[in-house]
Amino acid sequence: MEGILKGIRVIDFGNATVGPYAPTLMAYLGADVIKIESPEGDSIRYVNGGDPNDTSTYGRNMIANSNTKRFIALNLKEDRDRKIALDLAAKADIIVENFRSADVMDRLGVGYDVVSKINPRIIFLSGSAYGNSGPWKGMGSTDGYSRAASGSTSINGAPGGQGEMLRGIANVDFTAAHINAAAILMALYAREKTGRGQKIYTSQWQSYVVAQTTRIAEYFATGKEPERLGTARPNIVPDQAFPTRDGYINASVIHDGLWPKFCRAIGREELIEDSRFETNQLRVQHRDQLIPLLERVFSGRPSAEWLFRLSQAGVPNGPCLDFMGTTEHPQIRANKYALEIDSQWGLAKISAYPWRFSKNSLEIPTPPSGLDAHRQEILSDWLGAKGAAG
Amino acid sequence: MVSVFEGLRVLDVSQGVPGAFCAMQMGDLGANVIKVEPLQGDWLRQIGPFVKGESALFLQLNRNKRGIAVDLKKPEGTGVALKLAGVADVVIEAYRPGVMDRLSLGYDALEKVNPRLVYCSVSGLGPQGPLAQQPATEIIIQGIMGFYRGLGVLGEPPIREGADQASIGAGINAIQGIAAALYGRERTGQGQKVDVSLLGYVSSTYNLTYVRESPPANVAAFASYTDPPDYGYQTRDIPMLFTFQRDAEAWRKFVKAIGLEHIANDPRFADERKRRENRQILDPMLEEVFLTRTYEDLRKIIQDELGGTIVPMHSYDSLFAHGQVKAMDVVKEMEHPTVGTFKTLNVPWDFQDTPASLRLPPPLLGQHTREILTEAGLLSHEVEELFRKGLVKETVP
Repeated sequence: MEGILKGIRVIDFGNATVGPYAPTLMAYLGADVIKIESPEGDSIRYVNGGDPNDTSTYGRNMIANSNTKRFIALNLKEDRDRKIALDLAAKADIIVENFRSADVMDRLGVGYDVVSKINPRIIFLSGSAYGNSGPWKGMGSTDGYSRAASGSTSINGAPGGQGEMLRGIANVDFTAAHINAAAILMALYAREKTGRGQKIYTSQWQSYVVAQTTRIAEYFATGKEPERLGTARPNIVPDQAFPTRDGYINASVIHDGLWPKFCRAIGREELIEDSRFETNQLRVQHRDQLIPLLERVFSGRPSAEWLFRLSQAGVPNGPCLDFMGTTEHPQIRANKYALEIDSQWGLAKISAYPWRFSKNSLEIPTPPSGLDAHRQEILSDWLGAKGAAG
Repeated sequence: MVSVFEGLRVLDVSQGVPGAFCAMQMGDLGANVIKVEPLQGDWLRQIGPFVKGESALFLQLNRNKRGIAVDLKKPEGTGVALKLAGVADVVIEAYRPGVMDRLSLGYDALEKVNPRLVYCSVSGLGPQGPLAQQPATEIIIQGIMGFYRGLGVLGEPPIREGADQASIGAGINAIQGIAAALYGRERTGQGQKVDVSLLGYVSSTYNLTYVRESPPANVAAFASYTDPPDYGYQTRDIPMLFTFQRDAEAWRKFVKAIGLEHIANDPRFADERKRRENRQILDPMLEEVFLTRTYEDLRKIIQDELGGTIVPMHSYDSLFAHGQVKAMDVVKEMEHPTVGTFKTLNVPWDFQDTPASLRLPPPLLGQHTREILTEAGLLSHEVEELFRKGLVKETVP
């Protein structure tokens, strides 16, 4: 079995996550990915470790965002290096960048208009923070700022509490990178039919607006701000965490067929016939009567017992796990959703494959390298012996 | 060809969110999508809020599809689905492992009659492992991944991330996998099975968190457990976040501009890091002033006058009133036969040469049953027989 993108060449012009992680996903699918950094390096090259005075080093963040690539440094403001970049772009199938606006690559002389003239098959993705138009065009951002600007902080919070930022998990950055990866793959498929590449724009901010599709659907229908409900959900009851004797568990009666099973599993068969709770609509309406009752039931026994009973009954359930040890979870291990790679920092855990293909294999991740570590190799591989002299 | 998936036949056999989202994006990009529902309909249709009787969630996730309702509990019903799958390019399903096999619609069976088929399965916890058979929803996944450690106060009841981002994200992974498999099919002539899951998506967004907490991790990596909630800075209207990054001069000018001259040279607040460390002291002082100003007042000072960055912690009201939403075409309108005009979120991709288009509203249950059966090659008396036996259903607008 081989990689589905074997033979496809990708250039990562990006910084941090939103640009670089999409090419990493392409690398997992078998593509040959090179990262073109400025002489200062990716903006996160030396973050969380790494020494800017020793360009052979990299910090921990690079391990996550830019594994499984080869590295070359080019100063795009210099004619000679820009020429090399264009020579490489001429051989590439895909280019990804996440500068503040698509204009940056144009000003550097390596934008889509220039590249597509020498390479009409190029798929060129510009994934800025806020997009290619509007009052926020050209604004830089981070995971947290795009998160706030997307409206998503207003829907996280304790009941009756304020909207809050999510700490410690850069899922806005990675969602945007996934949106970018999807766009590239779709353009690659389209190119098989048209013979041509194209330009694609995405934005980190809009990506996370779309991640909130379900809450926004509710808002469009009601005109009312979503309520902050702790772990509960506005329109399905019960679908939330419950306190147990020794912690919290989650249970999800996602449709009416599960209600009788749930009631039996918790030993409260009489609730099945209770006219206040017969349908999801009724349970939502009478939430304030049902939830305290259920909390009292769940508080009576330990988590492990509830998880067992609910699983036996086929009701979706799960623990509220302490984060440490997530990568050891049997489902994460069995499905290779996380892997370990060796690095300058020892063994590091990274996210791995979100998909599995029955007829294609996935690449084993490799750690990042120093700035410009593969210059000769890249020039020789992509441009031939003549290029290696560059 | 006018869009990415033009000319492709996609069968959406899924219920709920992730498969529907994926199939919808394929329809948005030109695919001919058929949603196959059981006679009682996708369970998502039962979930409110409702707009003129239609589920708002179903409306948001099922445009650009035609619909057939068929009794999948009866062999003649699954026979219909099998006929459709036999000529499909893509099948999307999100049932628990084994369900599609029992309906004779599993990949192994379909591959034999349609070797070019790309078959995407969306599960909760992944296709392998001891819990592969278990159903899992958004909150279950958030619990396993310890999302609540990033919200609220340690020791108090957990809080979920309000977006159903595991569900939508699994739909994004599904479209990635399908696009890759279709690309591969152009080369090999063969389809294949693609598996994605809610857990796989969320694990993929934890990348930086995993790395930071790999040994030798430092204490800062675990701050998300014990840091207090970050509500941003409250203003007279919209809460906000702001930074001057490394511009010390801009910070000094700012505090003077808002009447806090006395802290302009306070070493405890001299740079971003120190301001973060001393926020217990600093933030109440700032907020006392901010509460007397609107977001726009503060934006003028911070961004226009001093070149800093400020973003609103948008509510949905303020988000959808913001000029960026209009400029980026984030919201579209469509017409539905019973709902009338409704708002819908646009696709997150702007392809310059193969754009998206919103052509069909979400189908009523079985709205296109007759049309789809006829297209599949059934003769008119065969179609009527299926209706007579109650094996298929149609709702006409």
